[in-house]
Amino acid sequence: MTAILRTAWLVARKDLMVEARSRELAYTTLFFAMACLLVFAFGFVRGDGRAPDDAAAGILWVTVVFSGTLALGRAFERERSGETLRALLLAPVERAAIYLGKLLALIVLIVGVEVIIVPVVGLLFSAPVGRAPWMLLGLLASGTIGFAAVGTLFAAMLVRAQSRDVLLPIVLYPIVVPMVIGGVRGTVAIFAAEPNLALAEAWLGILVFFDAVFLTLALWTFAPVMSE
Amino acid sequence: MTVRPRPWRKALFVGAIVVGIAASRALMWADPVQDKFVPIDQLPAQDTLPGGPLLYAAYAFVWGALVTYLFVLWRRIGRVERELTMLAHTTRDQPETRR
Amino acid sequence: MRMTDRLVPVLIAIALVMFVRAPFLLATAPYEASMGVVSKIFYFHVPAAMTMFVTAFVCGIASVVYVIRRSRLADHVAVAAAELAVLFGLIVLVTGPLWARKAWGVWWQWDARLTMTLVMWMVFVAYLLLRRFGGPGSEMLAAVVSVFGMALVPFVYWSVNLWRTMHPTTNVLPSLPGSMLRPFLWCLTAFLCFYAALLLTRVRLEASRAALDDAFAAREE
Repeated sequence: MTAILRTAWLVARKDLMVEARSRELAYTTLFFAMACLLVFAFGFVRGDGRAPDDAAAGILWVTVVFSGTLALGRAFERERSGETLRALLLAPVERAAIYLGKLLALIVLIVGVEVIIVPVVGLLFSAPVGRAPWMLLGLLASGTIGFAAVGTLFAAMLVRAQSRDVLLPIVLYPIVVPMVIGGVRGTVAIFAAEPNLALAEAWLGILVFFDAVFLTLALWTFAPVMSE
Repeated sequence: MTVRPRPWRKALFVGAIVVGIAASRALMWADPVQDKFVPIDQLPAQDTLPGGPLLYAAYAFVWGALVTYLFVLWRRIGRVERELTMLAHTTRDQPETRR
Repeated sequence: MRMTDRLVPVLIAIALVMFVRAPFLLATAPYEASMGVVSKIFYFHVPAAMTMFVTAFVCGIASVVYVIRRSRLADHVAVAAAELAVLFGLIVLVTGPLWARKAWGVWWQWDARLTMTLVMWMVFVAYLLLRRFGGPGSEMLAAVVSVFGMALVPFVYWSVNLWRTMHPTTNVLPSLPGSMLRPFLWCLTAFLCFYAALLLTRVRLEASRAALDDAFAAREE
């Protein structure tokens, strides 16, 4: 068990070191997220300069989903062009370790983007992001983990498929619907004029359960699907 | 793949257009005088909206979808089995060239 | 394959007879007091929905078998069931709003059942797109998507229920008096017979296509 975790950490560290040198994924994903926020601003901010009440939460999560999808695709594109995925799979390590390593690296990347995006959303759309920071952190963390868990599996699956760029969102988005609902509604409960932290906690519970189930499923299916 | 004339595709398009027209008629509000059905007075939004055309549209769609699918399936099976028999004939007629 | 070949025309004949008789049964069934004649849509909307969930279940099971055992038959059944899920799902998603417009005054409502149906339908459309455009090896990928789709169902239900408890819906399913039960069961049986016939036929098509591909590949050697 510790061997798996140790290998996973090595894989994740490799990815993060590669990323730290070029910072390609970090910069491009971050500025894609900013571009999304810009477009949403034109979509939702009304004439009096304010967005409708629940818009900020929705905008935040949609931006996370879109930039996360991009990051997933780009991360595995990098593996594909370097043929490193096959090398990884040939290595005498547990498949689960490879999956966990890539998952960890992607979570770090997406969370890094969120750390910057959340204050920007608070700024642009007058959302009280500092009101219940731990609850918000919990929602974002569990949502990101669930999204990345399913997304890493699907992106790895599609690495050798044709039309993989557009197929990833097509297969991913229906599966992460509960996570989006939970994240948005929990965040709305925090940002509302009368915040309902108990409701946010209920949503957090659903998100954590979702993470547990789908992480397990992904771990189970990663090995058979990658041994093609 | 050779391009063969596909009259049944035209029939499908015409059928889809007919179903579409029937459905759009169902959406138009009928003249209350001609309305034979008892209107619902619980929810005011559809006081004069007749239910009949909606029912016919739904029924037509169900039939249309099922029959279309069955038809398409039948054509595909026929094509595949034709190719299979063709392949069987050609392998039988040609002498086997084995190393 | 022989027995299933003989079964298909029998099933289709049963289904057709039932479909022809159905309008008479529907015409004599009592009006549902609050909705009027449009509630007759319920007689084929609900059976279609039940058939869709049956076939979704079939696809899920077949996909699990394929992931574990890589059985070709499981793969054929999975893709056949997925196509039928899209077909029956389309029927449900079209007849539903037609009924809802009259019964509730709106075309669509984000309640648990409708949302779950829509999400499941999209999962199966994604399955078919993946198989069609994913290139070689997409059978396994699609099987994984189908398995994830199955696991998804309870989560969508819970999250939409929690979401919408703040705004209760005007959703009223009629409770079935006995005089309505018979036509309903008649239609349900007809749909299920037709579904079984379609499934067997589609699986046969898939098996034939696989045989054709094998024959071509053997010829190449």
